[in-house]
Amino acid sequence: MKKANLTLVGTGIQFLSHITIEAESNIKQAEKLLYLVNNPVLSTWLQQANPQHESLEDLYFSDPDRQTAYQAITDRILHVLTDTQHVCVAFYGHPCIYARSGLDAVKKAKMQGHNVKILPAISAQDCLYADLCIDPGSHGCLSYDASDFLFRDKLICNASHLILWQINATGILDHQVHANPKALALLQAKLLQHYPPMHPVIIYEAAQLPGFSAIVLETTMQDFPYIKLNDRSTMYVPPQQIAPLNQNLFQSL
Amino acid sequence: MTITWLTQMAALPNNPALIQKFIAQLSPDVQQAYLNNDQAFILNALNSKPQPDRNTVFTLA
Repeated sequence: MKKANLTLVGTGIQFLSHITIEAESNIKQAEKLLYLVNNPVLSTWLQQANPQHESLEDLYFSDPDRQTAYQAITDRILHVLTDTQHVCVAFYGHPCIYARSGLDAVKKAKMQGHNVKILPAISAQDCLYADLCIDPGSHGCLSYDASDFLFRDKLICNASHLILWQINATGILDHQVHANPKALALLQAKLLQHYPPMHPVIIYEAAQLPGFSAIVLETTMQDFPYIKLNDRSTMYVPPQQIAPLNQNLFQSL
Repeated sequence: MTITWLTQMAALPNNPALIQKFIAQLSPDVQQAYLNNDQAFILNALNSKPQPDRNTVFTLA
């Protein structure tokens, strides 16, 4: 089988401002550009950047079950790779983050002997660090998908920063766009086992368009379920305490 | 066209005076959206159909 090249790129969070030079170069020079992005202006820019473009959006909405839709996208990428030498797939944000279909395609293409490369991009987490002035190197940072955090027994450390993604989709497995109040109440109950009711919580939304600012809603552990959320909402919980020093380990140096 | 001015805006440095001067050339509703930091106004105007949100990858597997 002839070796082809598959490159995954991310367009970042903010329209155009976050596209790196290497991502733009791959987008423009690919023999075929596949893309899945979340706003029509970015779609238009990608279509203008490479005439040989194809949106993966129809496949994304092809099945109410997300896993099936993601598999269809993976299959499409691999199919295009069979008769195209240079394929670029562009996702918004970072191409590894919440982009399982692309990641699966890269892994399978690599196993098939193709050349693969994933280019890093600016993720929502990068924007959050910048907008909230957080250094994950201080206190450490736990970062979970909200549903994953709720339904599995995850490590919770209230001495670290905590970030919960896709808070609006907690307990939702299909394309439903409204928050599930029962799931949010369960999430709150789980967090209240580790944080006091008045502990601060931030509902964060990175700016997607240039010239706009991030949306930072300050609330508390007891009130966050009543905040109006959307698909771009992320929950940030600051540390509640400083982890105690392990004197034995410290003095054994 | 939206893509034109958004592209121009993306190229501006973080200079409030320059940004305000640029925004002053846009239509009144867009100016108001910037004034209120209401990017949802622009996004809603652009999105005539549901957009891929890449929501949860949580599975029971």
